[in-house]
Amino acid sequence: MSGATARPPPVLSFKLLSVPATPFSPRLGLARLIRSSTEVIDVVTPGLFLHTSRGHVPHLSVDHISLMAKQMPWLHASFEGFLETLPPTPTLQPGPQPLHTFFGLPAASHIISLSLRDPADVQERPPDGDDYLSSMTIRGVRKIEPSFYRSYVSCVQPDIIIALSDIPFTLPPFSQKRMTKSIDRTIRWLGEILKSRPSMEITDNIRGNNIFVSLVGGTNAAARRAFSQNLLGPLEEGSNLSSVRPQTIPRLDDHISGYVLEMAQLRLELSASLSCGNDSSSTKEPTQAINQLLKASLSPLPADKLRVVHSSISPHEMLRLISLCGIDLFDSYWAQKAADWGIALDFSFPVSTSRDDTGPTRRSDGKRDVGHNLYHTGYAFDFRGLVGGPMHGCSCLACAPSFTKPIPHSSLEFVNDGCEEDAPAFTRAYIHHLLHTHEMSAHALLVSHNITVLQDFFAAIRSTLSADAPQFDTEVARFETEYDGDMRIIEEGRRAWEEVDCARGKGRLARERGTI
Amino acid sequence: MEFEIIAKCHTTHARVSRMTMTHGTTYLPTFMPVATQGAMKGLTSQQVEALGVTLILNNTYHLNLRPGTKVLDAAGGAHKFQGWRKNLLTDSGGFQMVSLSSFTKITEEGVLFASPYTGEPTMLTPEESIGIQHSIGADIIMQLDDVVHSLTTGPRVEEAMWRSIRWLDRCIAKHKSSGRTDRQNLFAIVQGGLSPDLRQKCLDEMVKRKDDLPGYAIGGLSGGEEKDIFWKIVKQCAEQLPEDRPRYCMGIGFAEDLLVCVALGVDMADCVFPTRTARFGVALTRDGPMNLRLDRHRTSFFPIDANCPCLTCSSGMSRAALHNLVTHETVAAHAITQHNLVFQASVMGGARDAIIEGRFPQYLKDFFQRYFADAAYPRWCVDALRSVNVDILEGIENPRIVEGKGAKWEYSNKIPKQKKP
Ligand SMILES: [Zn+2]
Ligand SMILES: [Zn+2]
Repeated sequence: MSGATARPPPVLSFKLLSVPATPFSPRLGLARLIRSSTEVIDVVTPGLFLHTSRGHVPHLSVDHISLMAKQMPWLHASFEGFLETLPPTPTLQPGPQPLHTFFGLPAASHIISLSLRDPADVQERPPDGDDYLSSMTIRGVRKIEPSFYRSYVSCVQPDIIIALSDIPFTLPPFSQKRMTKSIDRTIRWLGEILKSRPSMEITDNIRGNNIFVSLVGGTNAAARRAFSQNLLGPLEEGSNLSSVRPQTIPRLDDHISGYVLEMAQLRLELSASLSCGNDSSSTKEPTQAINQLLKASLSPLPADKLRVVHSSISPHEMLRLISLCGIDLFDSYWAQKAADWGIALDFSFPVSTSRDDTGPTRRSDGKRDVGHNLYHTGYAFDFRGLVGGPMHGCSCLACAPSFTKPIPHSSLEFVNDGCEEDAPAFTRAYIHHLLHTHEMSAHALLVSHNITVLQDFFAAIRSTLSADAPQFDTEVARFETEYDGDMRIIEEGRRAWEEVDCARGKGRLARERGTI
Repeated sequence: MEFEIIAKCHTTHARVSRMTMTHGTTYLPTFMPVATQGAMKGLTSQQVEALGVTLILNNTYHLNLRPGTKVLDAAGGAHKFQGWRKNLLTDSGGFQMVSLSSFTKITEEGVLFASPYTGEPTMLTPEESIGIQHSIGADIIMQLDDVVHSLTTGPRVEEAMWRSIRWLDRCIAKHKSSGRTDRQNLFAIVQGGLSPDLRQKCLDEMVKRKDDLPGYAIGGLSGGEEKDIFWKIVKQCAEQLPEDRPRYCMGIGFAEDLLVCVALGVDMADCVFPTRTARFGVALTRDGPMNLRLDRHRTSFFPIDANCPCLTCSSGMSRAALHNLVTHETVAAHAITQHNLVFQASVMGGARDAIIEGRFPQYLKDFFQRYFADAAYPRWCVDALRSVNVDILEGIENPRIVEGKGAKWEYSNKIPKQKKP
């Protein structure tokens, strides 16, 4: 395959900027990707990266992604969407930085991490085998062997590779035996990715790359601990020992630059085992159980490596994971998804003390929503911007749009001054209208807004942590008291979205047919 | 409205003009993209302006249903509501009522149609149409016309034509009494079906009302009529309409149609086609439409058009990448929509420059030669352009010519129907 060129893989480093009191205390850090002496991309932590589908943030055009590059340079992609035709299209992309090029993202300003599966996708799928992972494509299930994955990633050159892991996607709960198998396979597959391959071209050696591993073990704390301990063990040479260069890799973990925690699958298993009541480790509050399980995974491992969480579900959970598990990076999946359901996020951290009535609804139990469900008819005449309260500073496409110089199409327009200037914010009423008329622009504006609100949230977390770390826990507690941690607004938005979508009855469809 | 002709083609009837209204200047000829419900299919108003578009269209029928005039009044009009600071045009709503409502009856009073929400009979009069368009506040508003399908024949066509003239008078009266003639410009719509005779009568009547009309539209076409009849009616109308008024041909969007109409003296056109076809994965190029869903684009690692200044092409997004996204992610629709609108604008912008520089006939020849290089010249385009003294076959050895519509659609699995807004 083509793709691989002489350019050395970028180097990812992670440095803690504060000294955490315990291995699980909240911490400040800096993840830095050095591509060359002139191309350095920094991500401060606790921080965020974008969740993508087929390499794109749903609804956000490439020009908008590049506008956000400074704040959100890191995108996570999954390879599954490219497996419907083989060889996968991105592996055929010529030139340097094939994956960046394919996604239309300049390598100078974007970091791409790549996993095989979409960590947010927990649909049931056929079980993996000893030597393959079952991958879902629109053309059915594909069995992906670790060597395929290895060659794909060495071809497309993501900045960070998430090693394959055997996570059961059949119905939980899982037997002890299944868990052991999952751990064994994941360790073995990791070994295969890390092993050097004298039989292959040098370009297939991806050991110099930045590799993250997903910490598996399901809802069983002992299994999770066992998996992590395995990472500290020596890399077991496989059965094809004779063909391997007699070079030993001291420990698997030495070649790993970050740990990944996949919450979507964990949450699914947890709810299954809770309903069965057969798992002693998860009989407590689910949030507490999650913390325990993540700690079980992290405790055997060095504390100074990057900890990455996929598919968190709320700002509350993010705060808890930062505060109690010392998590460094999160994807913005839930906020992006909220944009699909018509939710405009509007919350502040630390909780604002000023009284105002422009913020989201306060429920009968006293909890305030973290956003506005703009499907609600109450917004039809609401000509305010998306965020209420004192923080009018949201810099998103909806709250702070700005005009750029237009493309001239004839010599006449060169004399016509296209002026670049700020535009008025889009209103709740307008987005309400767009949602009810199925206009895609609603989601483009909302996803930009929600990501920006989350970004501001993380900036506030960092500044609270750096100003007064003990105060952080107090603020987390205040946040939990103020805002609805059950995120009822999300479910309401999802239902409203469904209703409006169903209301696309005959009349509406006919109307759409005539106009779209 | 200030309307000033800057240049005229020495060969064809094409002209370049400057049309200045409350929301700025639009250079003509131009293509107007359609933002039916106050949004350009996934883009923001800022993105649309960045494409070099200075005049868009909203549909009155839709905006009247949602968000409704109360919201629009409270918002201060559709410009503010959708954050659009350039020029805006609204149709009268009549066409949609007839084509989208299950029940429509036309009386002298107005259009009686079934409310899409309640099913109840609802009346839209010419006065109400203008009233709604006042709430929307577009820079150009259209008279309510009595719409008949372009293939209708018999006395109904003549009846509709005369009624459209009577309704025009009611629209003019309503508009003048509103005191908004300084901000909103009412256009008449020439009707008369496919009959040159009826068209002539309609033209004569409507031209008489010129003092109250800043511009004219040619309506009742692009409903599947013979292209040969289409261009002759357009030519007849464009020739008879006052020189010092902009001429708007409704529902035209294919590049070849646009250029023929420009050569016949048309200044403006609109169509949902470039944005709709984008959502089906079809990108418009000077070599003809390109259906990115087709397998042959799967490994094309170059942009739709390397010379295109749009953000999609200049970001280096490849046909292969778009192929992988089309039908899965709205991002593909946004990307192709941006490209298609830039394509439409550049075809028209190129025409403006060519007219100013006195090389419009050559521009037409070059465009057609490339666009139909791997297909055949549509006969009607050849004939229409010959009628304004340009022979696009000149110098072409053994040109292939196709009768009928001849639109280049073999690339696409789905043939989009052209529709009036
Ligand atoms: Zn915002
Ligand atoms: Zn382009």
